[in-house]
Amino acid sequence: MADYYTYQRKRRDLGKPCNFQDSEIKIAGYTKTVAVIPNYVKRNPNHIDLDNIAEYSEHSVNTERVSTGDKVMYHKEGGWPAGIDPLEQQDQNKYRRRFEKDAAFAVAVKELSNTVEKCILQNNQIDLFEEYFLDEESEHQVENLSTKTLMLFKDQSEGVKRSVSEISWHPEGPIKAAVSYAISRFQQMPEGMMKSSYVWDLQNPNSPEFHLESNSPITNLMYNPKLSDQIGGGCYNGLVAVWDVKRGKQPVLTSPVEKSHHDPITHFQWLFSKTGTECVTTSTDGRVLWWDTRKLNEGPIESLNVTEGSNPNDPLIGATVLEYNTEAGPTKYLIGTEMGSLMVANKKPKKAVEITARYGLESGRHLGPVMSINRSPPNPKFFLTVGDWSAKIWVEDIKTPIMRTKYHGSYLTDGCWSPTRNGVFFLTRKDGWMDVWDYYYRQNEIAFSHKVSETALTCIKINSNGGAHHNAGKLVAIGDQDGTVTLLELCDSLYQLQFREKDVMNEMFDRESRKEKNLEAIKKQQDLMKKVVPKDNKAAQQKWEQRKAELIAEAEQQFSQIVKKDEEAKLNDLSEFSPKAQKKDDKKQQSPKDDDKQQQQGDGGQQQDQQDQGQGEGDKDGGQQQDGDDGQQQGNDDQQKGDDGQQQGGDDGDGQKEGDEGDGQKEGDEGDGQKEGEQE
Amino acid sequence: MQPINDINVDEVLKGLSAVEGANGFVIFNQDCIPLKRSEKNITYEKAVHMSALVADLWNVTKKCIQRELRSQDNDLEIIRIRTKAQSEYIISQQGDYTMIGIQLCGKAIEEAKLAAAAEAQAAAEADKAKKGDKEQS
Repeated sequence: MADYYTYQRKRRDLGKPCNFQDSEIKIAGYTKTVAVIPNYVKRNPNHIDLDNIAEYSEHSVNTERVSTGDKVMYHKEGGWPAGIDPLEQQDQNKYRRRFEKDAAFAVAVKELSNTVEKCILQNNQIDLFEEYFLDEESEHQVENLSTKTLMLFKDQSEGVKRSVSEISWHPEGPIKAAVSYAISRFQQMPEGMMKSSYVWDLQNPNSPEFHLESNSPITNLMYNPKLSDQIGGGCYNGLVAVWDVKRGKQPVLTSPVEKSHHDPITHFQWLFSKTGTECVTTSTDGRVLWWDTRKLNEGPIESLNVTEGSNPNDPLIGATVLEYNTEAGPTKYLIGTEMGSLMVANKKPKKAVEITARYGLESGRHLGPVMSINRSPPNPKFFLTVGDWSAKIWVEDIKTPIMRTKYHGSYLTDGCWSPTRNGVFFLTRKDGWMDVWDYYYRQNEIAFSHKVSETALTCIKINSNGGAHHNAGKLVAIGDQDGTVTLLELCDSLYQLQFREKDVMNEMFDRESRKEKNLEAIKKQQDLMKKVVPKDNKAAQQKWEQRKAELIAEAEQQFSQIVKKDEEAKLNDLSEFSPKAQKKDDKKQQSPKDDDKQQQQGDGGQQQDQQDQGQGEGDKDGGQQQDGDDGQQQGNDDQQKGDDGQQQGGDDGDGQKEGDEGDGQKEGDEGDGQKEGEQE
Repeated sequence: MQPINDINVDEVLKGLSAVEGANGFVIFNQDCIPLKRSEKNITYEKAVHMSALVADLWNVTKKCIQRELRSQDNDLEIIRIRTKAQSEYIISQQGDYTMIGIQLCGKAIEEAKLAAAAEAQAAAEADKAKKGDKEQS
């Protein structure tokens, strides 16, 4: 136990300056004792505990924490003075009232409201910050139509310039285009001319991606819409061939020479059949042939001879172009001919192909061969044909065109509708220009013309499917006579559907169809008039009328003579005889004819009856004449009347009959005309 | 000068509200306590907010004009704030009292009238409907 030292001091002494005092030195010591020494011996072994670990002690120190307190306070009420509870309505009111009673407050309010009012009135004068036409964009902007030439595909053949005979876009989009090259001018093809056609890739316009080899130049070709590897085409020698892009340059299938067309193929078209292997070709030899590419060796599966009349012995007409569209009808084939007329062939299963309709036989026939037929994409009832110098629009149920463009400066070679815009179609001309007609905008003028090439343009195709970079209807491929294919990019307004364009165009087409029907009706009426007028003016009828008039005049003359004599006799007799008896006697004397009649009357009552009947008729017809007679005439006997009446009646009756017949015919014709008009 | 006692504060303010385009006001004192406000379209809370903000703005502006622009003689008389919502805040001070006037400008007046008319019509229809209900019941 530690011995605690306790320090004690009085309270008052605390803090006093210390008084240190020296203390005495004390000496401490010990006494020597000898007796202990013997006990002082070293032990062996000796035990010692050594510790080399410092002794630890634990001590914890914390800095002092500031004490925290929670308080919640809202400052929503505004800065009220300390003495007022903002929540107490009474306090508030009291506080307010104090100010409101203040005279200075009233004055201030008066002043302030004056100031504010002045400002308000100032502001009301004019809306200083108004911006005219704010947020209004210009609705209509003049937009110039334009085209941009994207690329040119040039024919690879050297020396001879082959013209582009046909272009076909890849069915999946505007990525590739197959182009055929041929010289269609008769015997202008040089020996050893290059006969291959190409497939161009839009990525690489410098060289063709693929060659289509053939024994004869390809005049027409088309991508198979179902199998995009397949390209079908027709050759100059009339053969049909099919190439497969995967299987090399040579055609995989060729039709036999003896069963093919005898002339160059003018159009090749794949059909939308189930198998995707059927196609149809036209040629200038006047035949349209249907093929199945699986059985190409066996010749065509169907054949149609193109004639203008229904007589099978009519001369064949070369078919120049064919239009086939499933929307219009999978069995309908529109064929354009070299004579400028159009045919509709109908190919029904298990029946022979027949021509069901012929367009433009009477009027509307193209002056040259039909170069192109296109059905309007949204409304396949209407189709556009291109031939000679103008393009015409037809509707299926009318045999004449409903609309016609003006004559162009040179021959038109091809044309097509815009696949996206209903009212726009493109025409290519022989002088190297492309014309765009926009019927949505105006019908009398070309919307836009563009010179594509120095030489004649031969064909035009627009992409109907959109691709990665190009929308449908945006790219136009135009081939020319020198073998160059120009790819044009149309401006937006030329391929984007305009406001209400569909409705407007449909209305316009309907209106034009009605107009054409009305014109037809008017024409029929005019023809009818031509027929009717000569009938009326028949010389014989005139003669007959004349004779009738003569007869009547003669009768009248006779009658007036009788009357004159009668009057004279009457004047003479007035003084001497009784008037009745005298009259009768006079009559008998004056007209021996009458005497005979009277005798006859005496002979039989039957005749009297007949005469009476005659009189009846005579009354009707000769009534006017008799009414005009003198009163004395009335006094005449019945015989006289009957006689005249009979004569006149007989005459008139015949004349009437004749007239009735004439009228009846006329009416009948008119009736027919009306009926026909109604039927239409 | 008019005798002080003759001024009827409420009358004055009513006259102010009748001016075309005027769309409310708030008067507050030195303590930013709104004393008068147009009850129709300014709630008490809004009045408190406005007076707090405006008082601050007023003081700062005044200080700026006098101190920063170094022109002791200039004094702030009026502040007019034009907003995008086609309204204008007119702030003025007289002695201890500050007034905020709100004014609609230009097309906003017409719009406000149309809205008021529509509201009135809706209210009338609602009344009718209520009456109809009562009659039915």
